[in-house]
Amino acid sequence: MISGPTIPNTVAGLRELITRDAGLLEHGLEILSEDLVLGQDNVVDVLARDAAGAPVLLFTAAPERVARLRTDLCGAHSWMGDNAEFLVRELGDSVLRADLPPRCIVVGIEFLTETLRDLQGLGGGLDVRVVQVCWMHVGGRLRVGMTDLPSSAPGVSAPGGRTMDRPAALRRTDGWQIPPGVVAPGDRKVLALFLDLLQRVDHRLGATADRFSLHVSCAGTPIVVAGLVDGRLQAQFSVDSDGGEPVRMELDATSCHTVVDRVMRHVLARFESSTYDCRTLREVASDRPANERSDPRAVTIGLQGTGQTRRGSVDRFSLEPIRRMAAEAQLSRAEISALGEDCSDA
Amino acid sequence: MAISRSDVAQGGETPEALVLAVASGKGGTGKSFLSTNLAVALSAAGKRVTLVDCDFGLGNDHLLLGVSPTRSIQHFFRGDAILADLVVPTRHGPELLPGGSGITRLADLAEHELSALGDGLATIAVRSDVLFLDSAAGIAPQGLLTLLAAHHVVVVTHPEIAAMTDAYAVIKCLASHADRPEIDLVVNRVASAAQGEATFRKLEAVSRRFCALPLHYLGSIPEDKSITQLRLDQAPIVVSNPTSAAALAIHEIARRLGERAGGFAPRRVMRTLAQRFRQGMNPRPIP
Repeated sequence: MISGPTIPNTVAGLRELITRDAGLLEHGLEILSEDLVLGQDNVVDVLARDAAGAPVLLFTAAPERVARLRTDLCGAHSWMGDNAEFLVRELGDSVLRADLPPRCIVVGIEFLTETLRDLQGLGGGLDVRVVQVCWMHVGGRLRVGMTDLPSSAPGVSAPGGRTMDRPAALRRTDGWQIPPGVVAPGDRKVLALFLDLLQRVDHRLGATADRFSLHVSCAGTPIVVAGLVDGRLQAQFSVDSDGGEPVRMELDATSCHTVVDRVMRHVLARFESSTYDCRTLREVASDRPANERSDPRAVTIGLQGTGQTRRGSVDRFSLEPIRRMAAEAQLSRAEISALGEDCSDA
Repeated sequence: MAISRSDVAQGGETPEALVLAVASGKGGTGKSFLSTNLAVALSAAGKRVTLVDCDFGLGNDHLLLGVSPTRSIQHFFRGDAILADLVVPTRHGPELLPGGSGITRLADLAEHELSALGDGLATIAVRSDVLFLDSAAGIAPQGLLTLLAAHHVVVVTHPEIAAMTDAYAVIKCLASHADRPEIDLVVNRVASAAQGEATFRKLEAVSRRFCALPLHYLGSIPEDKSITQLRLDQAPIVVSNPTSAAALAIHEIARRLGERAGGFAPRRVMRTLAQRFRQGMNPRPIP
């Protein structure tokens, strides 16, 4: 059932959606201005800044704009390249950084083949991301889906030596990698450590990454986004494991374990109970011959060797046998009697 | 004498320290006293010795070795440190992994925490000749688990009936485990060597009769009123009074223990310390 206002499935609705929460498109994206005309009639729908402070030009792709989109994009980008310092002066250098080249994001509900071909043919060092957006209201909640479409050849170097990375699923088999971007070398190390630790938490954890953010989810449900906020690496949890308010934590070398610990708690709190019934597992294990119970896969995976470990598989081990052993070791009357002879005078 | 049984393989992986657990059924029998003094004695003999205070939350080995560590095993269980980083040197030779003091949570650890502890201890075991596990008194599950992970368990008792009964309870628990370690006995605070031997014979007879388990006698330590740790900077008796009867007895116990264990040297093992920890939580039945 739909309750509350809905966003129409139109280009105007798309604008509303993006301006309402630009972070949907990219972690840390903030809107600075709307409906700009840069240079000679180059219309920019939204001017934003990314998490690192680089200017981002947002364009909405509408069928009636097919002919203009490429012109607007190239013209505005060119103007930005020549006049970035002017814009920075206008907005303040705490808002935008002139030393970072501008990027472009084209959003649309549908893309004509012609539009995509136009965008793919841009080249020339233009850093363009094309995102198809869809949304719907389910159960009174707005659900938004984003799909990155192939735009100008991925991997082409942008001005300043940056690579135009795209959000991509990070597969463990390849070794999770941090996509190249403007994240400081120190932060990259922290992110690498973060990923390394995450891989040990639960096999259901998955991650996608774009230039500035790392999205971690478990069985498709978002858990945490790690990314730059005001130039500092932070971890933003979608919902607290205890069901409380979303939590934002600094992510650095010292807090990394704490953040991963919270991720683990999320996984355990939200997923583990439905997947594992530890009590049942133990009972099942007890019913089987003990020498068949040893499961080589059921190993403890520690978080960098600390006492914080994943629980699901380890619960196959149990202190119950030892508890039983202790309970059964209760001394009989005969044993106590046999021990009772006084030997202190020996 | 025989090397400890099932764990020693003909050709294993990385050599691992001889793991010796010191246990008692009752508190106050001198378990920590024996652990620290044996550790110091072996260290003085040139062995790389690490003492792990397994009385989690109520450890006091750091007091007996005169160190004031800033971190303990508590930091490991909190996820703030790896176990090897918590090991501190002591001026008397052995390294110490402090057990934490006054931390009630550590007295009731979960399976996954104990499993991680086994992993952590295994990393320490590969860099030591001898790893002493100073276990908590009694038959609490996590104390028994540390005993099951050892190659040899040295049970310390007094000649009194209460201490003997509790020591026997520990022996009986271990006897029910198919992969139990070797069990040796030390009788502390005896009036005479004969009293120690009589105590051993009593326990051995009961153990054989009811558990079909023979015990081995390592010796006794005479009652010595001077053995009271009053100051933090007081050294273990093998250092402070090496010619005392108690110190000499400890050296004799160390010698016999060495014979029993086939020397205080790392050994290739069929199952690592970490695996033995896990097996303790997933035991085989007695054939």
